[in-house]
Amino acid sequence: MRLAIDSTTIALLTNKSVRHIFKQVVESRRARLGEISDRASAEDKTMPVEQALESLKQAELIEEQDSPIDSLRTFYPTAKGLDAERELRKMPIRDEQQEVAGA
Amino acid sequence: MAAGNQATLGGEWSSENAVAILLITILLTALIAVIEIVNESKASPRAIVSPVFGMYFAILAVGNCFPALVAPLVIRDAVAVDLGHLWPFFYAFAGVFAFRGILSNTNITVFDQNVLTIQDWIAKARTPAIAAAIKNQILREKEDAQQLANDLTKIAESKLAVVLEQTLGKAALDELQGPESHFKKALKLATERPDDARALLKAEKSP
Repeated sequence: MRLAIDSTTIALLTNKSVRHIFKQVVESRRARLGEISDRASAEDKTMPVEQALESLKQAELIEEQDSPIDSLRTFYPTAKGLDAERELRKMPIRDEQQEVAGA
Repeated sequence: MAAGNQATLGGEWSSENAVAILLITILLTALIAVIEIVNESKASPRAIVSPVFGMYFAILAVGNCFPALVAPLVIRDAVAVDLGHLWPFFYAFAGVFAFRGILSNTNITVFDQNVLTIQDWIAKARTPAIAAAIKNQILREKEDAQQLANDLTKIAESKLAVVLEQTLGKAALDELQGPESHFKKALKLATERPDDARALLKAEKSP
């Protein structure tokens, strides 16, 4: 089976926090930092929200629309991000912890 | 017998029919493309217009027009009733749905490996169109919010603070201190409570 997402993206999305934030941004098509921070539950915080967003931006899965007010910074999916989300629906990715336990 | 039917019932392939079929198919394709991208991007119809949307529409239109033009040759004899002037509509619908059927069932296979399905090709054009619509929508919302915020700065900062506290709670004011606090309060209200912001502006303008 051909995959539209590369191994770096898959590796990034094995992190539960990153994956949850990515799903939130993609499913709502745009999310503000305030909303993302509010929804990130305590148990998901294996990575700080800002760091997770930065790594998703570096992987070109999301982009940011800046604002002078922090909570109004808006994140939205790129075409690569939308492709990755479609692949995720076909082939769910396991968490890092599950991978370690499995190994 | 079939030829006789065609002669009496109409709907056969002709250049006049072909032009009508093409026009209806293109209109139908435009409608489908707009509905699809608006639905997928959650953006307004005005925000979806972009070069990549044009490319997606063109690919879809070519894909739809071909089976629509072939339809009179393939399915004319299968329809016993005379549709009169509705034949071009019928062929256009048939072509669009036939293309959907072809899309779902055609794979390009090389050495037993699925190289690409036609659906993947269409998705490759659709995804950038969705992404562009999302980006356009965000830019439009930002411009609208900034315009509204500029208007709101004509209202006293203390008044904006009261409205913000009432609508978003005291915590919302915490990050709005420091330089440009007046504009920040206006922007926060314009972005998160645009209806309240417009109502406030209207109330300020009324004597």
